[in-house]
Amino acid sequence: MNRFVPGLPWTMQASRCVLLFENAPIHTAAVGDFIRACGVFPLRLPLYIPEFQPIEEVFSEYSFALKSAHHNYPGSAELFLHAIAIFSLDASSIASHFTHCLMEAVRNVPELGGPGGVFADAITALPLERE
Amino acid sequence: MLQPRDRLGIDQRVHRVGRMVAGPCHPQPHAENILVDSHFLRAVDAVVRSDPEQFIGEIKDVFEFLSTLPGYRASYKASNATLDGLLRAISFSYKQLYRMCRERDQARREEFARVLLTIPTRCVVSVDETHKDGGDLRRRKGRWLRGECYECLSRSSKGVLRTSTMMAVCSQTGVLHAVTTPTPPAQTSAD
Repeated sequence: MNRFVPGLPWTMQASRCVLLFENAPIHTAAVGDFIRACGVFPLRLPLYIPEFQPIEEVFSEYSFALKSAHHNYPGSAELFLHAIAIFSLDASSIASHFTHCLMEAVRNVPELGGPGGVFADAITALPLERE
Repeated sequence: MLQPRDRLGIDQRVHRVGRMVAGPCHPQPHAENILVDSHFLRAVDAVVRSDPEQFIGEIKDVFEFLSTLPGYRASYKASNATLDGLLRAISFSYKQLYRMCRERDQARREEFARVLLTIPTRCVVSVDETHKDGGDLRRRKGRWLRGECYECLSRSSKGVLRTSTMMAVCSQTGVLHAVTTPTPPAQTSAD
């Protein structure tokens, strides 16, 4: 992780300076303070909104890879299979998960993904009114 | 062994009542015992109707809190699966609740989406923990040739090690950090 410089525009911030984590009960305010004290910007997901967390999709891919490893290498040590599954996660597919989360974010901003928005044609807006 | 006459009786009852009900040859499943607890059924109905925009976990928290109050029933504590069954019994589906909760959280979702869009993707490192207990390794359904014994290729989850994996990923280099540790049974991520 790199150091986040407060006051600097985002375009000039270093790569990997924001830690995105979910709002689990174990992630208390002290955890956020500790991350901040380490010079990293803590970005906590709101409650019950996991669709902006790219690692959830990565975990889905990891589960699939682990399942395949179990069937392809029966009898192998469990941790070895985990290592195979982790090494099968390539950077390009993880980048696509980040892009997907960004698209989800665009979809949720009315002036971007809503009717008449910049990306309205590309993204179908969420139904906001009740049936 | 279920006799054809018993089968006919069950089919007639299902046709009459609209669902499987207990009878002499078809005892009531344990999971459905809660559905005949009219007191609890009314309590769930009242909680859901008073505030429908709640996830099952939140409804569960309400009942856990109620069970701690003096004079309330300890059996108010129920699992998510039980509450799901109760919701069906009072004509609410989890899908309906999920949609209402999604609408409830829309303002927060939009607010966070605006924050996320201001941050360049290269700056973000996503981190989380996942548990594996072999449950997803089993192939629950399969097909085989007619007349031949189904040869299940999936492994039993009993012998699979329970593990907890902590992972951090970024969009540029992929997996930054991953640690897998064996965990004892019945431990959650909080443990």
